[in-house]
Amino acid sequence: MENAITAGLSKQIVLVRALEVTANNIANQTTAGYKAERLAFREFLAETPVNNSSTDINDPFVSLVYDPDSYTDFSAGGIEPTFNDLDFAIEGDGFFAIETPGGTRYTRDGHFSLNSFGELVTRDGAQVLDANRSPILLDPELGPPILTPDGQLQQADAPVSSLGVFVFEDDATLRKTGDNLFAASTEPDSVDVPRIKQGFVETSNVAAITAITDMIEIMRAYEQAARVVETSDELARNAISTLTDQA
Amino acid sequence: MKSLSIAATGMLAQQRNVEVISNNIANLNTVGFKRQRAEFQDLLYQTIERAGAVSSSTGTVVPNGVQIGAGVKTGSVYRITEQGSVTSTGNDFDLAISGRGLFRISLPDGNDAYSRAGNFAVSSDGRIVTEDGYEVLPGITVPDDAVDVSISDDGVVEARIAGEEDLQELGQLELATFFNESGLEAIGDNLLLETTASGEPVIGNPGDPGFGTVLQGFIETSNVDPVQEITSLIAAQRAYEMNARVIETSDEILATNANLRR
Repeated sequence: MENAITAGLSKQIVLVRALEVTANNIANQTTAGYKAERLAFREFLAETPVNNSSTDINDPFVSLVYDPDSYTDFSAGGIEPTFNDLDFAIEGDGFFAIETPGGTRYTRDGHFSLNSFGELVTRDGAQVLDANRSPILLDPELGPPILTPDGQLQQADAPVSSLGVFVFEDDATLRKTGDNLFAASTEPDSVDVPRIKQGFVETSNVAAITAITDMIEIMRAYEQAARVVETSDELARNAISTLTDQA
Repeated sequence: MKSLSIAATGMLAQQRNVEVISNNIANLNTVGFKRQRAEFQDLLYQTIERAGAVSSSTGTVVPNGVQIGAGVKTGSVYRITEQGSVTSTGNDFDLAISGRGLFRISLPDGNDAYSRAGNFAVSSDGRIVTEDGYEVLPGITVPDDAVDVSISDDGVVEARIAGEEDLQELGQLELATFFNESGLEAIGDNLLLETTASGEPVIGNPGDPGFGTVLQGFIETSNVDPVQEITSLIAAQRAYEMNARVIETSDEILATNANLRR
């Protein structure tokens, strides 16, 4: 009997966490370069206590559920025009590299600006790196740079720098650190000829419709789990009242 | 129930988004207005199970871990300095800048402000001033016997004086450019102030390398595109609704919990 309650409870705990993950996806549906987060559920077989086993139980295990990992969906988001010369969107795989005080971080959010030294920086003021991992210095007096199709930044028809795009062997090793940034545990390779669009940003890859259906599913599953808990509670109560009546 | 507060951050962000969009729409006809755009960032992540933790006695490790985000925040609201379209007004003191640069305006408190709005006029003592009566730098005075004023592409102001054959040169307008133009601080009245983010102004004349040229008899309209703003408004409203739905769902879950024990 307690097993049914535990199984129901394990499902409820996982579902509440799944709702938190979905809520975070929905909250970030307009965050540039955001990648949706998902939870993986797994079955966990718990051995039933021996003293509880009646002889007709064939299966000595009770099946519980838990969420051992969350993973990031790295599929591409949409590309939205902003008409800002310092907004960039990567087509295909790869990340921009950002030098933050905490080390190099990677992002798909290509909304950059110039600081007062003429360096290309993120909105937090962290430097954007070129293919050789050095800061990108522009001459502000020459106006906004023009991006050539192969990722070079040109000013006054002369190349001044390039935007670095880096790819990882396995994107799953990246960890989110907030502020649209990812921390890496492996060294990425620089892409020789990146495909970048100027004047565009990549939108969040959260699909509104799947987020809503996810939420409905979570809600109904939660109700079901609650029903299991309720039913086993009722069974226990019936048993108690029936047995006390007979006594 | 963390999903309640996560959805609340989402609603706050979308509210900010709608505010920015409505300000753009309100300034659809404001001379020299540059539209703004709200940008969002994800908040911190709470690591519940760390990636790389040992998951069994044989030394296997958790490949991903469990990370739960805390919602969203407004990263920045930045101005898009794209050129607005230029409309003819026929007024001699209406100036549009084509290309980079801002007019320098002297504020009553002695500081300089910068503006793309070139709908100027002449004050009672002949100085070229803005709509609010602030002097346009470097300070050009039009004599009262001037019949006609012409301003060239490179900002040279010349006047035809009654009874004289040659044009009299009155001065040359100046423009300022900034390393980071979107870092300027807006103070209303189409005026912008220098900040540490924008850097020091670079002053030059119209037509100099890196500076735009001026067009007399034209004004630069706002660069707000109504169609784009309306579609953004629809998207923002729907996003707001979805966040509200998350709150509803969390509430239903809490109600289910409360009704569990009857």
